[in-house]
Amino acid sequence: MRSGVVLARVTDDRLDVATHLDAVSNPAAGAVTTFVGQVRDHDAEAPGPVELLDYEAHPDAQRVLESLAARVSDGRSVLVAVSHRTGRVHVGEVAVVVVVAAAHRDDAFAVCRELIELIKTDLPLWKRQVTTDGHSAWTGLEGQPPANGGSTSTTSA
Amino acid sequence: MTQQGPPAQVVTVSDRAAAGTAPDRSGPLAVRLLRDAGFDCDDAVVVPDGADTVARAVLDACGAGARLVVTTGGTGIGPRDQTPEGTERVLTRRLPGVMEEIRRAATREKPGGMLSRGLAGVVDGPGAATFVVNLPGSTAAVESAMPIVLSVAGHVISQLDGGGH
Repeated sequence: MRSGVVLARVTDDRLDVATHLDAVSNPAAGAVTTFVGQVRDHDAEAPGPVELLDYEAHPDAQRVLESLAARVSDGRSVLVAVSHRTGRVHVGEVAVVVVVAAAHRDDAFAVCRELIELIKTDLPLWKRQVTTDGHSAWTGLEGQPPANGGSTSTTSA
Repeated sequence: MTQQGPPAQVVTVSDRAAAGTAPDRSGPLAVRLLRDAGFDCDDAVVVPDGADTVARAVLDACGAGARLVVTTGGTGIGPRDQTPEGTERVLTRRLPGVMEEIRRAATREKPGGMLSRGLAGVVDGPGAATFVVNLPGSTAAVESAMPIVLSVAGHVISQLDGGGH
């Protein structure tokens, strides 16, 4: 089957799983896995109940997401659609969607899992956690960009 | 041997300076004044006008360990002036009194001083918190405002670290 990254976006727009399913639709695909990451109402580091997360993208974020999606699809017969939200995302709203289509379920599960783990460690996003009492703090820089703001290890010059 | 002060970062916000069509004068001035006051201050980072560029530059500086971030430029009412909008996105607590005094001092010099929309406040993060101040882009405004920023900066940083009053 045709393979590769069909959609990779870092966006302010609300995420829709159906758009991702449509993007990977393919008659040769026998398995489609989806991962939906949504904002939860509690966090060990938060001083109280969480109201929302506010994501700020590093300028490299779009390029890095494309490169991570390409890396996990490399050499495999899969179709990948992935998006990460930026801006204010309230509890219950979707922050990240990963959808992978493959001929068989092994590849579909494996690539979906690998990609969400890479997003967690390598996608350069800042995240501000706002609790219901109004307290807010920027939490760990996901995929911390280099101090010089240059390209990351996931991209080549 | 003198002990190196806290890390500080200056961010010059200017389309023309970023494009290289005009020299950045206010950024280097702010850097010099911070160094004179004992801060460990790299050269200014220059970014184009815009809320996104400002928000990212401030967060970049916080992530790199700056305890004081001074931006210069983009605080007025021109169509491209978006520094307060970008700063608002990253501040976790406001310090309006700092800007009240900066505007009061600037307005004594020129009526236009009251038109700066700059913000001051704190970016709380997982590590040490950072004091952030938006200054206008003119060297005169930087001259006028920096003594006010420096008069409280050490106290702000000490308070953020849990120091006494």
